[in-house]
Amino acid sequence: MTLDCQGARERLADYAANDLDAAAAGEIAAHLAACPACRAQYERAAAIIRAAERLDTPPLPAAFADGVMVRIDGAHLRTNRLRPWAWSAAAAAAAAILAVALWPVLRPAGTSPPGPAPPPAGLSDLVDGLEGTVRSAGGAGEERLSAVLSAGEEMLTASAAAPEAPGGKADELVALVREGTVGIDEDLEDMTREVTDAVSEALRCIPWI
Amino acid sequence: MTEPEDHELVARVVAGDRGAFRPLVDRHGSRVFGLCLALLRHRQDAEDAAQDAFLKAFRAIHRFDPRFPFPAWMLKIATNVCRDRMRRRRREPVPLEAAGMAEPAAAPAEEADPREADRLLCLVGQAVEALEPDYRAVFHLYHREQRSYADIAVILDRPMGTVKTQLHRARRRVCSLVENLKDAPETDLGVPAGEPQ
Repeated sequence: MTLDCQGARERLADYAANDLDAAAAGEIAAHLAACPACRAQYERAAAIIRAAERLDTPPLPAAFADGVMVRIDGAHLRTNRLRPWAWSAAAAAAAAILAVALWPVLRPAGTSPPGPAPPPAGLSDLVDGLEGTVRSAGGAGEERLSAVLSAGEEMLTASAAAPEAPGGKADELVALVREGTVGIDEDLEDMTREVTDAVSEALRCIPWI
Repeated sequence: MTEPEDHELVARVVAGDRGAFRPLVDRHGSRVFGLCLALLRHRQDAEDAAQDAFLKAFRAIHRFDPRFPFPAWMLKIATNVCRDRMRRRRREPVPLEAAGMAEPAAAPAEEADPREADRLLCLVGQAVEALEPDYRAVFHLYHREQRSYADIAVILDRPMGTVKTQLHRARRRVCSLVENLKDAPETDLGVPAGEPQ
């Protein structure tokens, strides 16, 4: 089929960029050989594409790499300061979330719904441990994290009393823990996101969640 | 003595040698900055974003898959950093001229008798800058970074078909804008009503 001018011009820039398959390129080449107007347009397109490949990126400031390394060193120091307690906090949060999610199978025999169930064994300890590790860190985020943990504890208790919807409670707790760390510290935020991502992924593998 | 490969440097960083990250920054800083600039169109923002990208890469270096080229991995991280910034700030990036940029390094358009090639380079720079961010990113990665479609699809997290379509449209738009700008007495960077995305 013979290519008309409109069809050829549609693909001139791609042809100029040498980005057409052999068949399409052959069609364009045949059309250009017979059409001076399209050939002129092709020359302009080719010049534009060549110019695009010569565009310069402004040079990086000389101190760019130094700046990156300073930030890495700073982050390393902060991470070293934070890591022991922050990981404990994130891990405890993960354990609490899992405990809520797994409560339907962990609860003692004979405590099936609809009657209220006792709080799952060890759950309060988990919350206390989580709160303790956060409190021991001190700093500006302590108050906010404590508020988040109090809300989390209420949620855990409510979940223990109504274990028929553990999945939703676990999701809420994931969201709560994540929101609680946003803006306090980038490293803690990153760690919490990593841990809660892993927990969320694990929860998706449990059939009743 | 030959320079260590990217993967060797990465392995050293993973093993605890933070200093081994420096040559990776030196080697790839310019291309990461170039992509950030293409997306954000603001020099200071682009520099900050490029630094953020390297910091994130350093933190995630233990997750780097050595089967993947390090530059493409870096460009993917930089793309995500820039997209986050664009989402958060929700403001139109400042044109390069307003940010005190001189791109391309060519004779200014208002010169009385600029060389034709330099003028064309300048117009092409303005036309590329006027593209929408997605088109600009694809155009930059293909024509300036010489990345393959497969690489671009991974870096931008887009299907390869979308990348091809966007590149085709970006080229046509750049050509059309340059033609329009050529005869205009003053440069007009407004993007004409073009094809839908």
